[in-house]
Amino acid sequence: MRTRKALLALWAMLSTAGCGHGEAVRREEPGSGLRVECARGDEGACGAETSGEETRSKGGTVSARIWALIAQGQFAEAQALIAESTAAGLITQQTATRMAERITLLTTRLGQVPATLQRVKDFPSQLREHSLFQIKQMLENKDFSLATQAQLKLAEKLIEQQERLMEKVQ
Amino acid sequence: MTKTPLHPTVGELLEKLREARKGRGTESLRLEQVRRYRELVAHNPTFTPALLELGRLLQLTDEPGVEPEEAFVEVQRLLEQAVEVSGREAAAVVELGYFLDTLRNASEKATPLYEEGAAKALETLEDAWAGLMRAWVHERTTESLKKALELSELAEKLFPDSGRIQGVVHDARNTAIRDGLLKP
Repeated sequence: MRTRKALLALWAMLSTAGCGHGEAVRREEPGSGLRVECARGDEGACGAETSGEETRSKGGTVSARIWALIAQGQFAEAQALIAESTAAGLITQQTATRMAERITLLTTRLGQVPATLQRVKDFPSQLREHSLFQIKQMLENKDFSLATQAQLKLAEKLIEQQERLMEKVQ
Repeated sequence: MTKTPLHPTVGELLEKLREARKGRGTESLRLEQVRRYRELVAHNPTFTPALLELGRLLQLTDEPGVEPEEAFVEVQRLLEQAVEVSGREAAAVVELGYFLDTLRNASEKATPLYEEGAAKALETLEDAWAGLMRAWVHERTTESLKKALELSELAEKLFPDSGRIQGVVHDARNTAIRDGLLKP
């Protein structure tokens, strides 16, 4: 009971801070300036404020724009802006790396996951040439013309699983 | 007559784990890595880090001549063993959750495991934060008290019913007031 309450509280806090998994976007809050964005909710991603109000606001705006571009699948534009902003010191190298990793994940095609993961029961082979971003879009738009909802969900889980496993076996 | 020790020492075990980890992240060395981990696990079936690491590695390794189902059964056995011998520690429980969710496509079995893992991790967080704040209060410098006050806000929200957190938050505020960092 207590744990459930704590979990809910944690979730609520992370939501208001603009932290969360996926395409977190820095939110502008009237009166309180910009909240610190958090790319993945893990260590170091939250609270990465730079010194000086001006830099923080600028960095926040740029960062929000980049995350939004990534979320919309405009990867080339996002990459250009990441390079520019890093060079200008508007975002940290760490943030730039997180953004690049997110792009890599979203552009990973189902057919690129290790062979073992492609041998799971009911593997949706027709989605092999589709990227995680495209699969997420189909799920969001309830576009089941190519695959069923269950197949899309499995494809999404498999791509994300290979990424988390790869990170852990490094 | 000298006795042969039945169990390896901690040092020996860690050395074997270091050995097994060699070539981490290099795909071409994975099969060799799997062989070393299997050997380690066979001799030390209660060594959680090795069980977990082998369980993860096998999900990414395509072993020639091994049927997928055979590989998945081995992964599941390793992860269930890790859960059991670790006393259901968060990392092991969550890893099993991901395996069931993804490779077995059984989210209904994974959800309770994710919940259990989150609850366990929260207990650790509560414990760690209480210890951290206590250390900062004892350090009693402007900087350490500021850090304690900052964390107090987050900790109170997350653990409103925790006696330990409430106690140390109270101590942090009182000390900060006494030292002129906070208005009474």
